[in-house]
Amino acid sequence: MSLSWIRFRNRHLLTINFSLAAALVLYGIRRDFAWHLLLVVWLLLALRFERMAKFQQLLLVRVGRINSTLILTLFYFLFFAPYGLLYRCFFRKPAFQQRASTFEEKRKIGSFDRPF
Amino acid sequence: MASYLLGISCYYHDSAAVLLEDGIVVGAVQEERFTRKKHDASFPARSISYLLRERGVTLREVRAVVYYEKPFLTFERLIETHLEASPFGLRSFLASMPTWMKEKLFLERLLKRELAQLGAGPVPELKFSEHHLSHASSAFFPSPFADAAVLCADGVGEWATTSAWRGQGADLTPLWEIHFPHSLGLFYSTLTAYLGFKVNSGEYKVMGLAPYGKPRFADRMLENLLQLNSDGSFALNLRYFAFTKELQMFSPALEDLFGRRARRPEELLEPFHMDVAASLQLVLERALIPLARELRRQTSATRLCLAGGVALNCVANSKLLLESGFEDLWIQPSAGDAGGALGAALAYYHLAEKGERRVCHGDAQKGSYLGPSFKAVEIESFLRKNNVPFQKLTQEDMLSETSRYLDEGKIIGWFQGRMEFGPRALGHRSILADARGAELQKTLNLKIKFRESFRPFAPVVLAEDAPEIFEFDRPSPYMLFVAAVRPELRVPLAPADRTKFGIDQLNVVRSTYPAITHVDYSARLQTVSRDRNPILAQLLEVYRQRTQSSVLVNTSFNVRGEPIVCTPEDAYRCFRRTEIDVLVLENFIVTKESLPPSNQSEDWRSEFELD
Repeated sequence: MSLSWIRFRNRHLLTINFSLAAALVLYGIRRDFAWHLLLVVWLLLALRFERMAKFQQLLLVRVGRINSTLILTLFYFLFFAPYGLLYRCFFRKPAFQQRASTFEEKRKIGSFDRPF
Repeated sequence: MASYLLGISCYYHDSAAVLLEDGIVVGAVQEERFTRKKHDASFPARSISYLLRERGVTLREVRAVVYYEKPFLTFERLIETHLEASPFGLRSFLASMPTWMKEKLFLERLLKRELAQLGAGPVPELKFSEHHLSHASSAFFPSPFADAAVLCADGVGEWATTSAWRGQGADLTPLWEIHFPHSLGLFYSTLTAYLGFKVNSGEYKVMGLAPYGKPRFADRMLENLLQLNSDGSFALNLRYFAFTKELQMFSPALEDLFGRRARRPEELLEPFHMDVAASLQLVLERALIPLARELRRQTSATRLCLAGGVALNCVANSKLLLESGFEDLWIQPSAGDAGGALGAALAYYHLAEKGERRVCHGDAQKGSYLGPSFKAVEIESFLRKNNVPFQKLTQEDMLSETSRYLDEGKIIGWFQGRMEFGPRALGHRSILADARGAELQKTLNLKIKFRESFRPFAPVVLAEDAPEIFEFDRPSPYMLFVAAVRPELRVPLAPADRTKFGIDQLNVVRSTYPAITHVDYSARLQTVSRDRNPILAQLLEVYRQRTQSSVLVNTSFNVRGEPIVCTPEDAYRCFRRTEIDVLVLENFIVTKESLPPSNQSEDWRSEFELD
């Protein structure tokens, strides 16, 4: 990858992607271009001023975090926690159970070729 | 042509890289020393670049890069722990999952990308060792033993928190493990957090605090927190520990058990906290000794090797040496996760590639002097560039001058040869001082290191003189054992001093070497011999000729929260900021008197997060 591309990617790609996505979403909702001029102004400002681009980046990170928190929370309560019940009934790791000894015999080491 | 293996550890804490040349360690360094961020967990790019540059090779000559653990097994443990805790572990789940899904699950790709970005040649094959196998290898393969039992204990690896192995020649056989959540490392860390110190860095402070207190809570801990089984194994009572489902280590039940809320960081230390620390230390020892005895019974081995973070507890190590039944003990000096990089590479070399092992006299760790060194011309150039007035001396004169300064009670910043690998400064990046000074501990703690006043300092002594001063009959080159000062060197206590308790004991002169004698007469001993550390051994000899004493205070060359200095620039910066009197960079001497007053404000202290 050339250095100019890396610089361009780091500096502007998020701004352009954000504007494109916002334009599509706006058109999808309103079926007109009434707000798109504002989006062009936003795009030009973010391309021109680094502080604006940074602000936009922080905003998107925050939105992303909220999104992932929501999705993970839903996943946790709808799928993960119910499976947790099954896990505790049928597949529970011996280390989590009360035992007179916690030694686990180990006979061999795993292969170096894989990360598991 | 020589062949190379690179071992790396990163992304948890203490990232490091190690280079093996035909199975022999030729370089090892922690990333924190370059980035100046203590316990830095980032990819060890600068460490790898240094190792390759120092050896004059590229990644093309490196056969494989070995990562020190198996990330998928760690992920499996994480998932099962969350399943066990559900539906009460949402916060912990939300905190850990994004990093895993974004990076750690794709670790292979991430590591390859980082290696490619070094621009040091084609990316070699990537291999993975198990976390405890890495620890065990780092303990056994560099040890001086052809046959030994190996015990590893840390917080947690993938599943294992404690593991036992048998090492014979170039082979290492697993015996048993104890799995998460039952962990001596996490037990110690939880109480460390309760005492208001940072997890993964404050544990050694708790160890230093323990002798001030009385172990009056030990029985309560054994009845409630840690169950010791008859076969030597142990189990934690999870009612008191929150690390399986929360973002903190202990549950409110622990505070109820002690009847006190947890100490907040930097709050006043009271006798209660000292008693908890003393009890914790005793309980750790009571848990470790049966484990080691069981291992001795199972293997019939007479030697024991130790690794894992728990093996940095030198008080427990000394108890193991005395009470476990093993005749000899070797501990990996970089016993924490940084040492995992060394163990991963050694494990792959000996166990996968079936590389031959040569058992070395002493050990194969080379004194742990495995990091960067700087030539005289580089040091001189640095000093000239910064207009620092200096004396350039012959080695003989430098030793004589340094010895004179020490005798005058001056504090020396000592920078020689290759930097140490591991958490201890072993006389290449050290602050040295006269151990006979009564006020020295306080001065060093408060004006040089800017750290808690209760913390003890370690002695460095010529190996041949050690038995005359300490009750210890073997070398301790890595500062991993404690030894008591001999009774004949102890000073009888005045009746008023005998009744002192807690931190009041600090200012009592207890021996002819008060700066290194802890309140229980113990000292974390480092012995020095000419074959491992010739310069420091010579300094001690010259100092002995002058003062009839070959004991000095040796503490790491850094301030609180700062990684140990790596370069002459780091050393000079630390020298300027503190009340160190003399800086010795190889054969160059810089004195504080010859410099204009420093115009630095105290703002620099905020550069380093307190540990």
